[in-house]
Amino acid sequence: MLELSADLATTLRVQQFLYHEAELLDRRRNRDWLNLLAEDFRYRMPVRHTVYWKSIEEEFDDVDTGMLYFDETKETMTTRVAKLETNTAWAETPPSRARRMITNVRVKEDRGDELDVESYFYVYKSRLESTEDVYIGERRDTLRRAGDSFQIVSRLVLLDQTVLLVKNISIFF
Amino acid sequence: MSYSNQDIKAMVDVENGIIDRRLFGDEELYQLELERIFARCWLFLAHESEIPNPNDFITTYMGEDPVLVTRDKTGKIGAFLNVCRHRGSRVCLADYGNQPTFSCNYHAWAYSSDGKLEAVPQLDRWYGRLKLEEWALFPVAQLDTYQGLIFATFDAEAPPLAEYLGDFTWYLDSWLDRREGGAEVVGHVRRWVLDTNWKVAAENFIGDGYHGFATHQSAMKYGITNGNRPPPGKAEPHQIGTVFGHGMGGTMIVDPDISGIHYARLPELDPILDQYTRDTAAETRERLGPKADLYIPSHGTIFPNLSFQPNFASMHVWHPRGPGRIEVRDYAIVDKAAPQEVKDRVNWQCMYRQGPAGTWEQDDSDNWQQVTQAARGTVSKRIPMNYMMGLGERIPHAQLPGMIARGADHNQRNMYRWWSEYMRMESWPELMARVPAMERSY
Repeated sequence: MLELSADLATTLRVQQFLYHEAELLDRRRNRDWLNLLAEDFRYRMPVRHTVYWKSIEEEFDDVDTGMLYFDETKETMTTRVAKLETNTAWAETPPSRARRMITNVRVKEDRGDELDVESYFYVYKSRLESTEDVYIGERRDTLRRAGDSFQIVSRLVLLDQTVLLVKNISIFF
Repeated sequence: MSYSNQDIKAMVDVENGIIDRRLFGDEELYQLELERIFARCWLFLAHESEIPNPNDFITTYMGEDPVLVTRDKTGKIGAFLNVCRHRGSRVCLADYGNQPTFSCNYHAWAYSSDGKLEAVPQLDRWYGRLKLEEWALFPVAQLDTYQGLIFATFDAEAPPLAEYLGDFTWYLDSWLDRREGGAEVVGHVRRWVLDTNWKVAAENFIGDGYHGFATHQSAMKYGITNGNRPPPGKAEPHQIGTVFGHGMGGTMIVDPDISGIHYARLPELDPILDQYTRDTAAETRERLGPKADLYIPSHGTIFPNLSFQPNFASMHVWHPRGPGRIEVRDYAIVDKAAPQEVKDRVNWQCMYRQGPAGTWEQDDSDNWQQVTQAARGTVSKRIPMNYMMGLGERIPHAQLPGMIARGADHNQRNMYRWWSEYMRMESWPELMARVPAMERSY
């Protein structure tokens, strides 16, 4: 038996919103992306380790007490965007080319004003001549309804790698 | 191509600041480094706070050799090749955890957390030839700790750790021993890869204060500073190189009314950190002595591959993976005695700057990759590299040890001078016989 937490229209709307977000970032429209973030936005990407089965609950570091790659608010994200706009942030100068494939979008809970949404991502970044970075994992979002669209209230990003096989994370996803 | 000691000596000209580009790309030099540096020098394994309890373990590397670091059931720290003594499968596959026994997946040979071989299935089929006590996990030759940092070496003839660290110990004290209980790491280590030679990273942290204004300008423009901002005229950047190739860069206080203790972290960026630094300054001064007022450590490297950025509460290890690649391990380090709120804020300042997403660290990647790539060019590698900055400048200091100068390239020249020594030495005793004469030049 398959239980869906939201109706078809809501699910489609959420999915299209996440594709729209991906398009803004792919097209390097970072300021427009910032406008999708709620004022109380939180963004966290914890480190992940290989642990034995008995410790599997701890394979990600605790987001409050452990180590993360990103631990952001809207303000700190805005500073990151401003930094990139200097055109002297060498990790993105010259700019990379990135494409965000967002998939397996599911509404896990619809509370009316807010929804919990999960999605998978496969983000490809190519830089200079032959530098390639790939980021794969899962996002757990809370979205807040805003008119016929949404704002992103919080995002937890869970990468599928322990040693990140990338040289940096210079883009957002 | 087979390099003689004479060839290697010619690659590093400390007097004129000229270094051979092949250091960053040559496969044979890299293999020699694995033999003569990574199999001989003291290498960082872990911080004690990563394995606080009996039977805790972490896995890491010494050079390209996988290593298992444990605290056995009595609390004693040990380090062993993470290589089963039977065929060589990896005995421990997890990054960290707690268990009293490690059983190899292949044939189920079982080792206790002190490395002893406890059980071999079907032992009778060795007809008495297998003595378990002879087939324990291969241990490192020496292991020791300093301020919670666990180091080990595969070379039984290496001098004791305290002697290897030498004058550098004071600089480690200045950020790892500021308060009772010392320091601890936050959470678990961050890891990622970079397409760069390990020495490009090590030399950047040992003394490249010069690159900050250019590489990291976009971060500094938006207030993501590197702290260390005494009032103008009260302090000057200084590099300090020590025997065995270590080095630290930072700021020398030149006005006695100013204390370096206040600026040693990023206090001016956060009122709570500022208050914490003021509240604990007396304790720090009592532990470290008045030298703590004189110098603000900013960045440094313990040769070969452990780097620090104390003002970011940050520590990095550069594990070599070939002449053109490294695996980076990155830690945040906080005072154990600090209130949780202070630890969280220090950790956050570190996370925002360092790591693969760090607003400082991410902008180093391309630079280091391009430097390393240049070493592959047939013609490029014939052209030497310029390490001439600050040549001939020495500023001895009455109270602070080491070879001191004002700016970049000083520590890099010292680091490569010692690289050249390690690459040519026959053994540690042979090198140690020459050290007293070398020390007189510091």
